[in-house]
Amino acid sequence: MTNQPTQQWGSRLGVILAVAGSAVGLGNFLRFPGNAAENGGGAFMIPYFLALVFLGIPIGWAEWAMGRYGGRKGFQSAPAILGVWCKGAWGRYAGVFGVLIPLGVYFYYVLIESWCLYYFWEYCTGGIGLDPTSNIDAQVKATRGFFSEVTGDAAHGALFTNGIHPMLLAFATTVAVNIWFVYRGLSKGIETVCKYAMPVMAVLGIVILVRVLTLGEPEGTTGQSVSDGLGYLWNPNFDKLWDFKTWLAAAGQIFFSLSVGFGVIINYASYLKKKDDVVLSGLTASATNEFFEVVLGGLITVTASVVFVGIAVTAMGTGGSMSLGFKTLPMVFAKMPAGNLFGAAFFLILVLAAITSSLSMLQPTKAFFEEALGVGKKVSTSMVTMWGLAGNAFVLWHSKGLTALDTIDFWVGSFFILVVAAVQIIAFGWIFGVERGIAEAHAGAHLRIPRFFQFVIKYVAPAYLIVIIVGFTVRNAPAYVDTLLGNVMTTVAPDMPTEKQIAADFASHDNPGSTLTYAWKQVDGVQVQLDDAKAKKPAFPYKEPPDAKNFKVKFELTVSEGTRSGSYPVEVECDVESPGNARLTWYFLILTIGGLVVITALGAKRWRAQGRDLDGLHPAKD
Amino acid sequence: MLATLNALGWTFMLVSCIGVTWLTYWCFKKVLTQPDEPDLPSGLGP
Repeated sequence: MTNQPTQQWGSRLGVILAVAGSAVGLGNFLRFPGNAAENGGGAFMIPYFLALVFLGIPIGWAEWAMGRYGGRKGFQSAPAILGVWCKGAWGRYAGVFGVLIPLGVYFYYVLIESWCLYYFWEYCTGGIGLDPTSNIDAQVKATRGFFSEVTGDAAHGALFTNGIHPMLLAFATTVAVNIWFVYRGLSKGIETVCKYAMPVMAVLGIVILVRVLTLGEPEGTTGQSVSDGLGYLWNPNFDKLWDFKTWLAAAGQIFFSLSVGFGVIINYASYLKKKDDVVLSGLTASATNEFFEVVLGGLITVTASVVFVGIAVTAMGTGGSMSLGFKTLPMVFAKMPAGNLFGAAFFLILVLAAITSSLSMLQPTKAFFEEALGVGKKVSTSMVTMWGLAGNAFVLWHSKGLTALDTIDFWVGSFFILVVAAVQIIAFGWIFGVERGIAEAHAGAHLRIPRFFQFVIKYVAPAYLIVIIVGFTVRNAPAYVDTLLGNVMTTVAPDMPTEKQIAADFASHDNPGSTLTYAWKQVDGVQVQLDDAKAKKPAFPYKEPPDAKNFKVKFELTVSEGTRSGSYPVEVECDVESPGNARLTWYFLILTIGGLVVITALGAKRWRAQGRDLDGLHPAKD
Repeated sequence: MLATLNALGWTFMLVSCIGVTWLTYWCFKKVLTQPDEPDLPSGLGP
């Protein structure tokens, strides 16, 4: 049995672009600007860059070095490699999450990819049918209606009723492309795609960026200029630095954007040779991701959105990637000269960003099947295709309210990533030993890791990560756990017309230093208890009764600023069916985890029978 | 009210964008101009 990997990268640039391609995704263009705008604008960049230096880059270096070292022992999957670095079975089974994450995220990510493809196709063939002369409320309704139709979020199986929705063709195309390139292998498949897709994305992004920055103040729009758009995103609000949420958001953005702890870098790096550089390659991949995120993501989307649809509508879209990309920007393209062309170019960027990421999600799972079960690439590709399709079908069918997608995204695509990263940095800094680990990283390196990173990797990054895990869990997990237990949390917020009315009534609404106060009072519906009746967007819990159906609750919102005040009616729907959907999703995830654990156990048995050093008791041979 | 990009906003935007662009350029330049497999000794940096 040879310890040489069966596949290798074609070139150093190829692997860098493959890792960068895995990292650059929808979050760079859509999530980052929303996060920055909401959390202090320019001031957000302080915790953001601190997280990059003290968390993202060092953990990335550790993951690159761990992967290459595992590859020298003939292992390519996270369970096997973490078993070696953690010197025992616990690391191997923690490594199961390093396969679950890319596979689980693929379950829904490929759907989002197919939405992008569908939007791209629509813009190529005349747009999504928005009337730019209609009022903004009508446009908001139209974009939301289109998004709802594409995602089928109105009801389970919505895409399969009334015939086959064309979106399913986009889905089938996306899956076929992914499977084909993964089947072709590392060099001919993933590397080739990334070597073309990344430069194309950069060029298209720069073209759109130049167009956005030269928009000026287009006639017939909101009267807001490019400078207003940039000011909305970049003017610093230093008060936000005292809010823990800002630091959490910055670290989260860096973390999830760089794809560290995802199970991908460790797999990709395992195909490197002993003297292939990991320090410069890791830094280059991170820097590339930052270029796409800060320069292209930070200057294009929100700026264009403010110019064409105003701050109130833009602010509604910055809460999440989906809203800004699929609901707000189509209104921008409808008003922009040559909007269909720019819409097509923008969604092409998203398609390319998504495909370079989704390819990276399949490869770790395929490699895991091959080395744990000893199967060839045809069988492993078939297995990953079938498992992936089962997950896709689950999310595609359970589309109501996108609960299944959201549940997997939170637990697999967010929480477990932090856990895997923690295991990795502890294994690197404490079990393997930080000096030995950095020496391993330096083999073949064109760049030396500065000495102070020894301290960062051993103490700062783990401590930083623990704070992030605790903060993330305390802030976000209770709502998801509550949902699983049948307690529904419903957020109460004004709808778009009401939001606009408030903005018009209170001129300072757009000011980050606004002193608006809010008071909520329930006026109709099943009696509920708001968690904070003076919050801008309070929430109320509701215990899921048997056979409950969704219901509506009416509130009166009183907004005040100094001596001025106004009252507004607000109606929200309580989705009491979501706990059932979330639980069903968890059953599916448990089945997936169980399957991966069994395969890991079979793999361990197989590696032991082959006399492989699966517990990392001996140094890797050159 | 709307806030046009102010001096601090300009500063944060330019420093951030120029910083990551320069870092990306520097990294790629180094990657593309280095030989494939150097034989540097392993160990901590200075």
